[in-house]
Amino acid sequence: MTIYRAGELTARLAAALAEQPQELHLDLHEVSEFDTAGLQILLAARRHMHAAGGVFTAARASECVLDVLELCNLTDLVCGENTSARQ
Amino acid sequence: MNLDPALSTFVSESRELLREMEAELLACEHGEAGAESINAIFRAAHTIKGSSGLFGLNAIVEFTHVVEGVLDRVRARTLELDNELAALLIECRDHMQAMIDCVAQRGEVDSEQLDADGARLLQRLEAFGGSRRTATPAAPPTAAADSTKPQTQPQPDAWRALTDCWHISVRFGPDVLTNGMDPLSFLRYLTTFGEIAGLQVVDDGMPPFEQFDPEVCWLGYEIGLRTDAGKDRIEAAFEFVRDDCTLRILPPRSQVAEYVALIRDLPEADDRLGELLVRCGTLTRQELNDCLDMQAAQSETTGGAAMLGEVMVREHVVQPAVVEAALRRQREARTETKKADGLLRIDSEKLDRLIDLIGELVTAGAATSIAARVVGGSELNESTLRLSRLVEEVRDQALKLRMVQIGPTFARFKRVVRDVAREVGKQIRLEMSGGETELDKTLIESIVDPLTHLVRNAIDHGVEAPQERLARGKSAEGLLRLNARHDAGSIVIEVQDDGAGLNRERIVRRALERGLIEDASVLSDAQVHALIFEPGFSTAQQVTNLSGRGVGMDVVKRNVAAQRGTIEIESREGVGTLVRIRLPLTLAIIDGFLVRVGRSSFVLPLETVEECVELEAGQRAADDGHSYINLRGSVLPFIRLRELLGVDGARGKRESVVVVRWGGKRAGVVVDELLGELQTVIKPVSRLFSRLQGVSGSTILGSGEVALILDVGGLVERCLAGAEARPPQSRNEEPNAHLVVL
Repeated sequence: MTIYRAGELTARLAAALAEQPQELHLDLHEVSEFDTAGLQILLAARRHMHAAGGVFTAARASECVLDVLELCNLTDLVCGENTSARQ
Repeated sequence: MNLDPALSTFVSESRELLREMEAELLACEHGEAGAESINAIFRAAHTIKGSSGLFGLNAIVEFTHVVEGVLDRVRARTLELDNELAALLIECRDHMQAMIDCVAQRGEVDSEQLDADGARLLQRLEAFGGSRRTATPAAPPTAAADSTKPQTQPQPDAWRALTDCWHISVRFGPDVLTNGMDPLSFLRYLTTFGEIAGLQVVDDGMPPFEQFDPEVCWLGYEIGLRTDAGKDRIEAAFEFVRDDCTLRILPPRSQVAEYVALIRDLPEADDRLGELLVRCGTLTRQELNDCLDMQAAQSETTGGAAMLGEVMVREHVVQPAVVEAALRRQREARTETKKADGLLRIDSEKLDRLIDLIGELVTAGAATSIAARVVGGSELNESTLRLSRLVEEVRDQALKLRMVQIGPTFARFKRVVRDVAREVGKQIRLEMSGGETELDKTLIESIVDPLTHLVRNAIDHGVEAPQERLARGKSAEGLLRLNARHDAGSIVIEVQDDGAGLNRERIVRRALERGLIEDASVLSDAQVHALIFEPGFSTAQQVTNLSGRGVGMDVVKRNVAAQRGTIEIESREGVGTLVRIRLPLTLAIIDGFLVRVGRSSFVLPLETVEECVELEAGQRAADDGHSYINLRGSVLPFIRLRELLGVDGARGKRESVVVVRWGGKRAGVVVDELLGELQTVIKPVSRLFSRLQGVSGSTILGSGEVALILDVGGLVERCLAGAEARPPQSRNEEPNAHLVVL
């Protein structure tokens, strides 16, 4: 999830939301790169779901995602019990 | 010295900036400083500080920061730039130069000597209000400014937050991500020199998902950072996005009012920001409440002391950003003008390679012309003619690339003059003319040392002390004039002073002592003056005994001669002295005049050739080494090349005299045959022949034959020396010219 694929990922999220407006579940365990653009997408998605009264979960964050979230004090973005990718 | 390209660019740019800074500071010292000068000095310091930070050159950053602080006060007119301060700033500039030089050599500033020098200068700067960290809590600038104002501010302004953390507020511009920056990397960098005590991502600017553009950066950070580093270090972390973000940094334990100002200035809602600050650990809950209360109170007050205080604080906080923007505009303006000038930086090696190639081209072109002439055919001849004209033009253009104006080199002497004059306690006015005269860059580099020597000499020994000058009816201020001009294919550079001039008696006495001459009575003044260029003349004893000159003048002469140049001196006692250096225009390629003596070819630089006349039979009878002809009523001494260089073979049926001129003197050179003009590439003669008199170089002719290039200056000197009845130097020392050719 980096700036290079941000447009594409956002489009996919938008498509998923159009199908399922009330629920968004993200599985992050295959994310190999994560930068500010990626972080923005997660934040934007969560804000949108909360504003719409829907459910947002992001789970199984990979190492690089966790690194960023810890740095930014945003570990609450991902579900605690599912972040056991870190061993 | 193996610097990466970026660092070497930094070094060369810094040197350029330091040169500008020097020129402006010198102007300031003369009291000619306008606001623009001070701005330029400040800009130079600021830019150097910024780029040093990029390379982690902390010693330079820290030192320059203090200098910049003082300059900032000058700029704000709270500090007057008097002579004393200007002199100190010049020393600071020198120190910066020394640090940059150190970086150029070793890639970092690692000399204890430099550290010690820096510390000494910083101590002196403190007298002008330069403190190491203007933003430290011990002496925040606002507090200093406040103390000068009447104490009308409400007590709460003095409250300070308890935190020991720096607070950093940063909002990134929309293009940061697409520019290839990742704000996360700045955060990671911060952790290399500090501990992030609290961090909040500010995503309030983010639009609803429908309008969300994932490639635009919407984020900002509120950061509490625990570190020993200074504000500049933290700022430097964001250097790469300096233009593309709003950055606010508050030192630990700042005044509460500053946090209030921060909260107000940022775009997010006040409550939300306050919350963020608390979460970062920057403010305690209690402090935040105080803040918000104070702010509410201020909003209700219209005017009054509270407002004043706030405005002042805000002004202080806002200032860096304003200054930054102004600087950026100036920098842009500068790049604009640079672009408009269309200047290009080129590696001088590339240029040398080009000149070499053109040299080959010239030789090959000459060979083609000769071949074409042999083969004949008007078409072929016509096209080779056109070709050689083009080659000539290409050659001229290429040589022009190497030409630089001497002005900037002259400008360097402002500093030399100032320093030397101070050292010896004299007042010197420097006048420069002909700065637009162009000469070969390598020539300029090689001439700087001799010139410096001459300038120092002129001030030290030439110009008298102020009292002495007044006693002689001159103005107390001595005059030193540097002048450059083109003259008959050579460059003339003059160093002139209005000092005491050379003292004939002293020079003669000295020369007699050293055994340089036996009898002074036959010597003209010019010949006596020329003695000071003799190697044996300069000794340590002489410096103290003789208040004239001559210190290392032989070295100066040798340096000039190494560039195929000459040096002469004119002096009148009590009136002044003029030293004239004459240099060839270029080093590499010349237009030559080809002549033949016996079976050997020789080249005379064309610009020295005035005319050619036939040697009449009556004149040919004279058999000694030199003689005279009557050239339209004036006496022209001539010299026979055949005898001078010991060329084998009998004289031809006819002989010609080539009349050459050098430095205002004329002489004739007798040769067997005139072969005409050609372009020729000068190849240096090997060291084996470097002592050979009368020859300045060699060249390869189109036919593959080697020809010697004659040193016209030397020939003329010899010819005239002979005419003045000095016995010719022992002939058997002269090497056989054929030795060189084969």
